[in-house]
Amino acid sequence: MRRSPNDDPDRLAPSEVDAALRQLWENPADFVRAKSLARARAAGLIDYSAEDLLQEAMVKLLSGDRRWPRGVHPLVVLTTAMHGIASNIRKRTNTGAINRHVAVEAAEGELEDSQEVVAVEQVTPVEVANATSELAEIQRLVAGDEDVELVVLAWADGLRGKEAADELGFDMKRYEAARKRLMRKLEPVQALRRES
Amino acid sequence: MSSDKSHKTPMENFLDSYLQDLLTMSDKDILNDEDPASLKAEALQMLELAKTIAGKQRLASAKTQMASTPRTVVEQLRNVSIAEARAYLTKAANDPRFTLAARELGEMSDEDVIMLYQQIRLLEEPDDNNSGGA
Repeated sequence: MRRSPNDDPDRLAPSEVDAALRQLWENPADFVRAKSLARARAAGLIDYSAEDLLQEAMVKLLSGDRRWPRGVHPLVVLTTAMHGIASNIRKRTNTGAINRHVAVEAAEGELEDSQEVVAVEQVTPVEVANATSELAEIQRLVAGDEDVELVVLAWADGLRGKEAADELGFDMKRYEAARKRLMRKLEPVQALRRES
Repeated sequence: MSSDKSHKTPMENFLDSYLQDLLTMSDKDILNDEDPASLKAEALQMLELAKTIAGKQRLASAKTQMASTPRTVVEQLRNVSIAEARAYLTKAANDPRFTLAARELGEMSDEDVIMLYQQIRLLEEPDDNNSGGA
């Protein structure tokens, strides 16, 4: 039997998750931070917006499907949840057995009369190719701005701040300028997707 | 995300750095020209919707559990032999949770013994069958 979220003293109970989220959203800047992280993580997902991702993370934390460890910063918890959800969506997309646009039902009569059910990869090769690497969409967005491309790579290597700047051979002014351009480029990911 | 970056994917590292970056920025810089009141309203609206969806999911899950578990239990109880049922009830007669006179057992028909056995076993089932809800 699955353990109830209320049974584990190291995780927040659903009512505590509700209170923690309510407290987090008291500061609108934290909502902007959460949306920015959602945009970065939703990049490359098919038919899934940043808002969808943030909403689902809250649902899963409130329902107890995802754990909220006691004492961890709410934005870290939300980011981890969104990352897990996005990874699962990507796996389902890449290993999807059937075309989601085809209704499946028990066949009656000759099989040659029915529509062939095809792998999702065969339906949307361009989209799936774009989703091959988790960072591909972000790298595509910053392509052409060499400094920003390098900051993305440094962050992907686990470097940040002065450590990243030193590794890239940037002074802090150059690093900060590239970092700000990166954040600006991340902002419209979903807006561009909806327009296309 | 976890603190050990050696076991992280590039995306996890990227998100960690991005998060730290966002946390070091001032609220004023983060908000830029956006309206704090409408942002807060949007956040709370998303939270309320999330609560509604999570509640529905929990209810659906509880209904599924309620619908499936008792059938399994009843199915298992149907297969008990009359000897097992009588032995169980004899033992239950000494259990303070049940009001059951041992002398009555000898006078009961096999059918009544099986029925009583099933009733007691269902009462003993964990909360899943007896809580009356999620």
